[in-house]
Amino acid sequence: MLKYIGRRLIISLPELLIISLMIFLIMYAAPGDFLDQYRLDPSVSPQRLKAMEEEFGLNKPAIVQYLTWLKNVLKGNLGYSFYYRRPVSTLIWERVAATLILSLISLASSWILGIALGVFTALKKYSIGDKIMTFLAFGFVAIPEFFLGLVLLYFAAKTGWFPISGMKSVYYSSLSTWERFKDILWHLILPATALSLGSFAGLMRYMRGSLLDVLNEDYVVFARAKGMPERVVIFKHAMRNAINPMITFLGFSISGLLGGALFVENVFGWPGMGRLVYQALIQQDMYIVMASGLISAVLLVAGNLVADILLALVDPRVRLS
Amino acid sequence: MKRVLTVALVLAFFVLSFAAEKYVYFDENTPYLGAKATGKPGGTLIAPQLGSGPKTVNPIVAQETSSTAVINVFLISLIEMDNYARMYPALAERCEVEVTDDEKMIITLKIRKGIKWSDGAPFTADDFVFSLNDIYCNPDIPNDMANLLEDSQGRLPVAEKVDDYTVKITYQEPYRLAVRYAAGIQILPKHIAEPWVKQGKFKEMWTVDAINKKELVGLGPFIPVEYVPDQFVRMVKNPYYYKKDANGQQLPYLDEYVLKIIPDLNAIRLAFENGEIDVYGVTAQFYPEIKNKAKEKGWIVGTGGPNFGTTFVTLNFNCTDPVKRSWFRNEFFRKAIAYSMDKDAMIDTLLAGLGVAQWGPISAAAAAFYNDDVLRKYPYDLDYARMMLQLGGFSWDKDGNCVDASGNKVEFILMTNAGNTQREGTCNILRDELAKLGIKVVFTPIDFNTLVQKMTATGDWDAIVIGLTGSDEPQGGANVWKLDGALHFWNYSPKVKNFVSADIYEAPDWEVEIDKIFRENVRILDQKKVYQMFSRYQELVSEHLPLIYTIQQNYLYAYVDKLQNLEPTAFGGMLWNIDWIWKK
Amino acid sequence: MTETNNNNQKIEFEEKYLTRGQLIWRAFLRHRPGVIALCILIAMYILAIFADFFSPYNPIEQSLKHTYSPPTRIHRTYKSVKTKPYVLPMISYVDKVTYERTYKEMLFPSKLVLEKPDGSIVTYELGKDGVESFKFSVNSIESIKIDGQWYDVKKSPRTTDYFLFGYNDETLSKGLSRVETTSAVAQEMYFKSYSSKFGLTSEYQIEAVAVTESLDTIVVKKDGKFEMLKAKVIDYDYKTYPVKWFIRSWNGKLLWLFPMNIHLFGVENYDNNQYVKLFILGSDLYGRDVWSRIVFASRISLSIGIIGMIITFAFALLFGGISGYYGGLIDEGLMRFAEIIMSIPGFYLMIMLRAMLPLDLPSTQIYILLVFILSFIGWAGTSRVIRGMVLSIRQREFVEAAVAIGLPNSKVLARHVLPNTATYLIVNATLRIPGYILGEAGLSFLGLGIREPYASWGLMLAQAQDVYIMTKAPWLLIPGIFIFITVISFNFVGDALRDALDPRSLG
Repeated sequence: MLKYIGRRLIISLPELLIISLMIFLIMYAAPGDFLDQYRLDPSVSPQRLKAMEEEFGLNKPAIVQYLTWLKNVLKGNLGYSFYYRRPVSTLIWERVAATLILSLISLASSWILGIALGVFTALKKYSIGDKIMTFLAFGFVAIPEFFLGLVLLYFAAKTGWFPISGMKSVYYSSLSTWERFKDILWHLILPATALSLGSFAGLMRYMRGSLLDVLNEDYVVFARAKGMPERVVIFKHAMRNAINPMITFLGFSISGLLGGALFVENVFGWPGMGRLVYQALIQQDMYIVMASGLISAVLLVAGNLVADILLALVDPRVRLS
Repeated sequence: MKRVLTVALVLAFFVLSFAAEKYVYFDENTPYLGAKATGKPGGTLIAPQLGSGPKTVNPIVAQETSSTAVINVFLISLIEMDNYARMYPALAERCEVEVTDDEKMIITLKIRKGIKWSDGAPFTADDFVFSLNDIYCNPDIPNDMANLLEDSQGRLPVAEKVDDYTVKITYQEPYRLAVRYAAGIQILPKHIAEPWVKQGKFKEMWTVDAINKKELVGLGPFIPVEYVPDQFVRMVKNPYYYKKDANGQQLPYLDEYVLKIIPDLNAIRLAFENGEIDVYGVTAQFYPEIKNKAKEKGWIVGTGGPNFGTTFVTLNFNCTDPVKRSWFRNEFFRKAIAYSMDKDAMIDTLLAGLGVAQWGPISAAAAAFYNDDVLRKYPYDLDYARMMLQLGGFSWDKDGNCVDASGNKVEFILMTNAGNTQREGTCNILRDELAKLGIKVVFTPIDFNTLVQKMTATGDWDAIVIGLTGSDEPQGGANVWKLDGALHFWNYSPKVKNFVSADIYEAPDWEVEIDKIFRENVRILDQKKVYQMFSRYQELVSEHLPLIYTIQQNYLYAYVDKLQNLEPTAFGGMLWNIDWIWKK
Repeated sequence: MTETNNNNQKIEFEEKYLTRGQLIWRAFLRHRPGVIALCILIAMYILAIFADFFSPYNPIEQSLKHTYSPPTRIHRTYKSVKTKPYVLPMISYVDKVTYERTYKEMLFPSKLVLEKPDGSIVTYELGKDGVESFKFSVNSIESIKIDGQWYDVKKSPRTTDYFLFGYNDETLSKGLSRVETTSAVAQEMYFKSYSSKFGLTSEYQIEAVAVTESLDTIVVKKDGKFEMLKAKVIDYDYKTYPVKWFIRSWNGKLLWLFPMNIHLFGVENYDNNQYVKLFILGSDLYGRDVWSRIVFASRISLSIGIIGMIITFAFALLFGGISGYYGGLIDEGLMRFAEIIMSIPGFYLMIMLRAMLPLDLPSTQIYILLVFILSFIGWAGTSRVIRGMVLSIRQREFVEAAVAIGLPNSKVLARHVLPNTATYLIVNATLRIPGYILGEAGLSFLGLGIREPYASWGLMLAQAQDVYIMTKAPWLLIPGIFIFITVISFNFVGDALRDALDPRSLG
């Protein structure tokens, strides 16, 4: 097993290099650059544009730009943001906590909800409960996340029960620790709800489907016939085999932990990574895009590795070579 | 009414002024803004900031409103503008302008005594001289202000310290905007900024980190002290602020001013309704709803005149396709488009009735220069549009398609930046109207960067609907209207952009005349003459239509009635006098 | 006892004589929701294919007089007598007193019974006795209420050929109509105009604003001549426009090819009145028929998911299956490749593609391209899941048995391994379809998707995400319902299929 992990880690290095080069090249090939947003502003002088082009190195050939970036990354420096004139690492670091709070909470709740309801609906196949859940699930799948957020926001404004925007209230710094915790929690409820509602439905359907598959297998029938308690049959025998696709999903979820959720962040004014990265994408703030691409690639590789290991541990039939 | 009055005032002001060679803009007897205010100290005002937070708090680096909204509160200048763009004394108490016999222009400013920076250091002429000479006019620090400070020959002013409280600014020739720009620079503290400038690292001074490190020092009413990324910026009152109100009470009244960053327009509205923010720039379609709730909820909601800025259709005079080029250069063709724009319907549909039609390059908001009488207007009439097409040599084939003199079907691509509902709506409505004239328009919304690339880097476009920001001063559009301007996108000179071939380039007489107006007006100090020049410019543009103007939303505002002393206008916004706004 | 016996015999018979396909079909039919869902889907596809026939209007036809019209009311009674269904002309406008978007039905008189000042009674009916048209001149007086007292502030005569029901129709029936409002916007606007005249200091001093209209004269065009009458209206009829099935209107193209102007339903607009519309699901910002747009948009939205899904699955099964089945270095290589694909910044990829394509590319070509891009980016994730499942399935007895009897690897993979991922694939497909339908709207932002004036469900829904529309024009959210119905139908069909494919349910 350790050998396998070692091999995967070694392979991942050239892989990340390829990914970073690819991100860079595609971004470079896309039309426009960071300075475009200023080119149509009558108050920005041409001299200033020229100076900025020089300063940011945007007039250098692509390969030079990429190699400079790579050299810096190897030294542990993710580069400077053109827009903020601050190191990309600080910009990202500022948003890590907020992003993780939101993504972990919604990840946890959607997984718990998804798995639990998936098992429930599989066991009660075609019951009224199953049908209601099916309708609900597809309702949430068919609603864009942004719209779900907007509805929740409207609800919050009409009732006044929840704050509309942000993660902390303006008076946050003058609050006690307990009040701070409450404050953040209060702001967290709506965005986390919007995110979990959007994603639990899928998990529920997958869980239901794969559990239904194994419930018909001979070993489950056999275990039941042996008179094993239903609980043991389901959770010890059936689940271990049904969980296979879910584990691969878990790997993907890990890779998305730091990606942020743009639409929900935008509606609820949550200070997460999604907003930072999206703005950088639109403005072609190159090094933020590169850094975020790299981070999610690293997480993707790591998440997939974790998923593969888990798969080997949980599913008795899977062997890793 | 107020607008007319302003024009009259401004005119009177200047006609009087340059009769004599030496003119006092204001002296010790002119009170600063807010000197007559009354109110009670205390309270916090929370305002929304659409989009994202400040990127920097360095005035040289800052380029977007999210940053300048913060900077303008803690960095101020010798003079200031009120909500109708009238000039008032601020840190300076006296301003004199003299044109010497050898045609030099000398501005002498007297600074108020006893003013301190927010860290307690005294503010003197040194700070101003340093800011102008070593920062804004420093060739090693390229900045946008330098462009405005230059006279018509591109020469920068020089500031000199006469004594601790007197400075002299010298221009090599009379420059109409000298006082406004040179005395209007945001002054930086020399004792803090000097080391950065000396090390050549000025641009790295005061990134947003400086807020939380409490490094910011300013002369303005509030000093930013806390920035939570993408959440809010908290600014507290500056105990050394120089203004006092009518009762001798130290200004500002408010203890704190918070900019809450909210990325979505819907959310801003809901946050206002929920009481999370105190002011709200209302979106037109929500206006009746908000206004009708105002009394019950305790809001003050109102409309001002039209906003600054313009939105227009532009056609590429140097289109690579010679057939299209000939249409776009055809004045009748452009007039046909102007006649086919149903601006009333556009205002009702896109701005919920709360807007005005624009006919020329200066928004009616710029009261001092806007001249309605000279503008040629094109009221919606498809028959007129057809007549214009006919005059321009166009006709119609048997299927009703519009064809040019050589029989080519008239068909072009209209672009705008995707995501801007008003512009997309304008395109959509225009496309439909032109279809009625037999002109086929392919409407393509496209992402902003690609659009800019096409306009400024490749020249590969037919027609675009886009907008430009504007201000009370038409000269701000010099980059757009000079023949060699960097934003003269519809007819770039081959000298500026190499994608325009010199063989096809033509500068019509009226473009040359406009170019001349923009080059010469800055040397003329007689405001009346300048007014006439800009009237001529408005006349030329509306007659020849290089840009076909569309519509502009009215300025709409809402704030909680606990806030007092607000006088919102399109120029000043709601918080232009944040230093004497107070909260019940 | 006999019944069971019979049943057993029947089953035996069927197992012997029915093909596998027939057995699956029979099992499928047993699944009631699945069958209903299949019918709904078939209906939807018919709608999409014959879109021109089902749309009463050209989906891109604008009418700025009908911005945000709610679903048109179909009347069944005329002056409290039951009649065939008809609609009235309607208008949506920004009321210049309250600045609110107002929607009203219009009264176009078709017959007037008038009492002349001398007491004689005359009847004019359009189209009879050479009567060609009516025109009314109306005096409109705006007044404001201050301290309980009404003051007239503005008089403006105007001419019109219609009145608005529930607004000024009494001008015709009673000679006088009056509308009062306490709208705060009206207070503000009138305060701005008249505060100096009345010495007002606050907008709230204007307690109300009223518009009074009185009928002045009636102009009747008869035999090409005009008659001007000052008379009292005793009775009148107004124009109604019957709603009919199979009606001729705009020129569409059946199956994209054959010109055709018959449409399933519509309103008979006999005098080409621009205000007459039948919007069964309301209209959008530009006054376009939402129903027609939904019908046309279904062509995009109902196919994009399916085509995208098929391409994705083809890639995913190929890569996932091979890499899970063979394992080892092949697995390693293919999965790392999938990871690289997943890391492509889709945003820039699309902007780049956009820049390489001509701007006036027809929508159909953009559409095909779109499907490819969406599925090209989408396959990698699915392939990893399939690979994970195949890793497990290939260890099972029946696969080992198949290998043992010497079946070639490709056959084992295709016949025995991959079919076992069917459940996952079906669930994945039903979840992926809405993803494609909604995701396509995001591309429109980059100038790559379906663009105005054409529509797709995703784009229509994306444009409706606004508090104003949620509260004032909720019918614009209907595309969301269509997405929901489509997805849930696919799901039930998928469920039924899954059950039907399960060997245990066949017998």
